[in-house]
Amino acid sequence: MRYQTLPPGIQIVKTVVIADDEASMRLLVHATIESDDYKVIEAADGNQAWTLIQQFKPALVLLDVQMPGRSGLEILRSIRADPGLTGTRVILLTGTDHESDIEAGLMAGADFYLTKPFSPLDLITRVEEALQP
Amino acid sequence: MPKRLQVVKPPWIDPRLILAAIVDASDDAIIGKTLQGVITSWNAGAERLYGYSAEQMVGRSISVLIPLDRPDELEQILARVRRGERVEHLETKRVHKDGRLIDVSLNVFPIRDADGGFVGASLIARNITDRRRGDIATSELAAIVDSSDDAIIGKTLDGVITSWNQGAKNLYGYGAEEMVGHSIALLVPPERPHELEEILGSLAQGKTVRHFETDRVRKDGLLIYVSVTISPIRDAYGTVVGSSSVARDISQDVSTRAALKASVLRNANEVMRDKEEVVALVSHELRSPLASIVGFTELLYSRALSDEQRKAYLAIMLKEGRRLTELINKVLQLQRLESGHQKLDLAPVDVNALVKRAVASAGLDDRRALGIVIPQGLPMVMADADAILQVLANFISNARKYSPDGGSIRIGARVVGNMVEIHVRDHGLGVAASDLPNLFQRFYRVDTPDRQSIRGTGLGLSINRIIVQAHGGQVEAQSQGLGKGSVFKFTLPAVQGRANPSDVLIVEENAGFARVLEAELLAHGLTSVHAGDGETAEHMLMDGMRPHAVVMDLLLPGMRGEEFLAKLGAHTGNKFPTVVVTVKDLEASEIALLKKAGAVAALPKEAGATQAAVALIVEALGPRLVKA
Repeated sequence: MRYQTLPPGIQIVKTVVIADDEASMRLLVHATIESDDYKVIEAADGNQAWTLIQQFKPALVLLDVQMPGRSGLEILRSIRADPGLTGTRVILLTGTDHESDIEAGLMAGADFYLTKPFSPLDLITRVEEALQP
Repeated sequence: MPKRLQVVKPPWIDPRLILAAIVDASDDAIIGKTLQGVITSWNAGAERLYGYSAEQMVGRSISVLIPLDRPDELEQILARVRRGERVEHLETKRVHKDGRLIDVSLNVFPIRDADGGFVGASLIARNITDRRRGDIATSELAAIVDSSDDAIIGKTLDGVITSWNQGAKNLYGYGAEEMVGHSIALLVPPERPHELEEILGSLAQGKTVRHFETDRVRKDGLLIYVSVTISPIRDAYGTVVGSSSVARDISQDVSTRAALKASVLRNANEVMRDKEEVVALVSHELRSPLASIVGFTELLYSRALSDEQRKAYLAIMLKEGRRLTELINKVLQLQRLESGHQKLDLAPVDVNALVKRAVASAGLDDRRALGIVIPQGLPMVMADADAILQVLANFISNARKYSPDGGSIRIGARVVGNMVEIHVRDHGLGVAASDLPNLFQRFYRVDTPDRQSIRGTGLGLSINRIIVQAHGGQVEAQSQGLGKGSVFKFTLPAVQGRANPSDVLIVEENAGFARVLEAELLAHGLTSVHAGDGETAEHMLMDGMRPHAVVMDLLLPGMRGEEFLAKLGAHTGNKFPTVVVTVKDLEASEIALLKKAGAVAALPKEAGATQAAVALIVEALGPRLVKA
């Protein structure tokens, strides 16, 4: 909402929310996608993530599936159900590589799905793809 | 002349002759008698029934046939006849010529003369002994059927119920009055539409259906599982006219069998599920640190980074690598413990010394200081010192981890029955009552917002539980609630009374080395006791143990070896040979000091050290003590 009040002509900086309960993972993802093109915000659990997502209406959310509070899948479904968040892309990061989990994630409307451990270069590619207009 | 019609006369037979022939041909006994009971006629049937011939009986009183226990019966019958009344179907007994009683059914009619007066009586008697037997058998059967716990039901070939016993009422809930005349289909669940047809088909072919297990519907709608045997009923010509079914409720049996099967399956499933759960959790727990390590490695490899960034990344990789190692170690240890592959080295252990060692290795934390409150005179415990040190380390580490705002941590001990209870009390986050029972389960972690940043494997407490239980003790968690801190307690068996008198005291931290020594000593007929540290050894001495010799290391946890040697002298006056075996490099001056303190010899801990030490002891003790 804040950015919509900016005068026209000024490029709107995209917001990316990283939600993971592990500090090391947040730092890794943050360091990987660090760029002048986006503003990166970290959330340490599901509830905090949902609050930040509603507040910033980010262009992209990187969601850990297993988190305390709301799980990544719950947040994903909430995003897809929220008309104010239609432009938000979601990449799921998860510790499992079960077909069924991946399917559940994609069914719930995830744009991409990365399994830990993932390659940071791969992550960058996915993030750039997701943020393409 | 008018023609007369020819009348054909039917053959005429004197009706009296006909009657006589009928009377003679009758199976029944037909007897004529006067109003006084004197027999006037006696047919062939009477002779067959009673054994007497007509010659023997005509002119005699019928009373000869009456049993002695029924003296009035004849007079009563005759009185009724004299009044012109009939006696019909009187079932009674009569005496055969050979003396046996026979069951008879009597019909007695008055005989009138031409003037209408009563002149006598005709008596027809039928033998009903067989029928009586049948009746008795039938009533016995009826009683059996009725008292049976099984449902016994008669039905026609169409399945219409003709009889319904008490057991059927008990089993199905319907009374006979509700069911007789109705179809048995009422009892068959709708899911089994063809079952009845098949059964009735088999019956019509004369086949018996045995122990057929199926569902039936009770009156109250409840489904019961029954075992039914259905047999055809044949008439006198062998034609199947109906069926009888005997049904027994086996719901209980089935549920018992099912429960048994289920429990076997459940056990197998539990093992599988446990395994799957472990694999799922471990893979998840392993993936996060692995992701950090792999990810940062790739960043370090592929990007130009500042020194500062590189250091920060490497620090995370190191931390995550250690976490991974810890997790793997714990999982493997848990598997070893659960499979029973990790054996405990039980020996008397001084609790105070053990707790001090645990506290010392936990390191300093000013905001979460550790205090020890252990009473004097606490008995030793029978324990594997290394395993219990790990238990204490886990409890202490948890107490600190879950006290994010600091707070002192106290470790105490007391005697409870024949156990020693050790507790670790903190002033941290506490545990909700609902979580308390689950804390010692594998991978159980309390998931509340205040704990999110606290990392753990969820394995420490389950490892503690298994170790303590393997000692014969119990673990317990207590908390007054969230924010009120927690107490973790565990018990270990106390060493009762004084330690077994042993020839040799071994003071040695390394349990493996101690075991080799013990075996070597035993080979020479010497018993020994092992103390894992100087404190425990001193405790044994204070408890009154007086060994004949001591083998000790200098590098002991807690109290130093030299210190123990001095105490040994103080306790015992160095009256027995002491051999020092140590990896510590000793200078000549140090050896001199040890000898002054009472050591017979100081041997380097190397191959052959145990034999050398035992040889020295055997030599010093002399042959009198060597029992071998």
